[in-house]
Amino acid sequence: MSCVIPIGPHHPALKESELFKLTVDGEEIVNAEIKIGYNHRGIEKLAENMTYDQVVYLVERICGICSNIHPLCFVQVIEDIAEIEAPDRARFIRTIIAELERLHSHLLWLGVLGHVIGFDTLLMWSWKIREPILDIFEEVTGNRRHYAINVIGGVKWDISPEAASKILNVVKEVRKSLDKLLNIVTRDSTTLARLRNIGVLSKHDAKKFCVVGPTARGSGLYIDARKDHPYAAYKEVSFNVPTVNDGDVWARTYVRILEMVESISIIEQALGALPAGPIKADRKEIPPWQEGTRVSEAPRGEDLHFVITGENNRPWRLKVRSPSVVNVPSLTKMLPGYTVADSVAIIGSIDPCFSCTDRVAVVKKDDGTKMLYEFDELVKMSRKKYGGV
Amino acid sequence: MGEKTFEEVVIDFFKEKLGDKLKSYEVKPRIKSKGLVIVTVSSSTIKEAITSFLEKFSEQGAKLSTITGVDFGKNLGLVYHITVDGEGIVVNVKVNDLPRTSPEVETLSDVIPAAAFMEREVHDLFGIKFKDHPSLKKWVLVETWPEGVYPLRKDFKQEG
Repeated sequence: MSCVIPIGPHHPALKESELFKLTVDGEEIVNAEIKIGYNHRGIEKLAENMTYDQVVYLVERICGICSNIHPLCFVQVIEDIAEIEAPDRARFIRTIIAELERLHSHLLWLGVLGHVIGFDTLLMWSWKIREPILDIFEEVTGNRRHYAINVIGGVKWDISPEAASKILNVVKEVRKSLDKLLNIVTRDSTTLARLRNIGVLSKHDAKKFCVVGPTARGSGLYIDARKDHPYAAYKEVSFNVPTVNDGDVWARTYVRILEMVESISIIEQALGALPAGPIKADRKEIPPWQEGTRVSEAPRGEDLHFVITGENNRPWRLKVRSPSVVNVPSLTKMLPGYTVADSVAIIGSIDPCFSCTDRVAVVKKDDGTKMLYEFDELVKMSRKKYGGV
Repeated sequence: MGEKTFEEVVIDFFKEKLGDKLKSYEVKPRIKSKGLVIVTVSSSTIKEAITSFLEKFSEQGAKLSTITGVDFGKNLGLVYHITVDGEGIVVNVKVNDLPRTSPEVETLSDVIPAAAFMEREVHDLFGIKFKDHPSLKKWVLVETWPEGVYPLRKDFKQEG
């Protein structure tokens, strides 16, 4: 008997809502349909009535996890248009903050993945490792999240020598802890059983769905905006872009851990080579009716900002293409063929800010009876699949 | 004469492929980065322009990043953002000749599955139709959003 299982759309505790309508035949998912937009706040329209400096704050609030990358991408578009060159020190500070953000975002994600596969110890470890990174943000910018460090022409806060040595100490500790996480993800047989060979996205499909970030690199695509479209100080540091060919949930997990190792190396190099000098360039007028586009690498993948400037110091059009917008549709390819119990890990594996599993209504096609599952029940189902509790 | 920059290669490609359907082109410098190529084409040729470009430069990692709707005042328009990852450039292929009443262009969704979702977003917010699109159901707006109201058009005024 085939039936439709809608997962979502709302869960008040999580920051993004989506609706996944899974058609299942027995336990197997045969079709997946997605509806987004439950959190559409009209940010692009709002931006048209704001000055450029206000827009920097607005775009920072697009996402609570990768809140740094949107203002970073936006100010670079404006700098291109107005020909404002951010000083070297500012470019290096931007790089350091962006990589710290990748570290905290990946660790947060790994914890959530651990939670849904019934491995709460991983959640505890991962978030414990993440905590000192948030302290660093508070130390440098005054905020644990929404750092508001990027301004047009540079950055707002400097990194003092004391803060620099604290950052170095923290990333040193994180690197040690990463070895433990790597060990789990590559050797622990229970974890491997939950992550291996589910939600496979082939390289061919990854290309067709234009996916980006760890989702693309987990399917063997060598793309990374930091290498391909260098910005900030990424040209001045050396790093690798890890790729894994397997395309399953495990590959997307493994690739993120390898990326964290690279992030730490970037932070250390950038702090070592931090140039002296000002952190903000002089302001110039932003000419109307010009356009610019920039891409940068958010923790989830390529982020694109497009601006057409308007009169009165306000944009005529701002377009933001965040990475999840292209990654989420690829789930329609990843989910079919696997079980409902695996769907939670598969959806989570692209890091769409895993929400929406609030309630699940199972509608039986033949008699129309409805059953409602709570989020907890679904997680329980996911854990029980392999004999967990 | 030195070797051609990739920006020039891109422009030459469009010149040759589209002939007089290529309306204008320019390269905008970007700070400490390669240029941004902006080409404006006639809406009747957009599908050919995008698909032939992606095919020709697939080795260099060309991919369609997104589609942006724009209200140019007199007309509506679209910007197709292509990132050529292997070369580090962005190409904006622009269309600015869609009439405000019944704007329509060909869909790319049969060639690029990802475009189906991008086109649904533009359809929601600007009311631009994509000919032969399998399903222009609401994507970012709620299903109960009134028909014929397009929030990102300039004649839609914000309240409050």
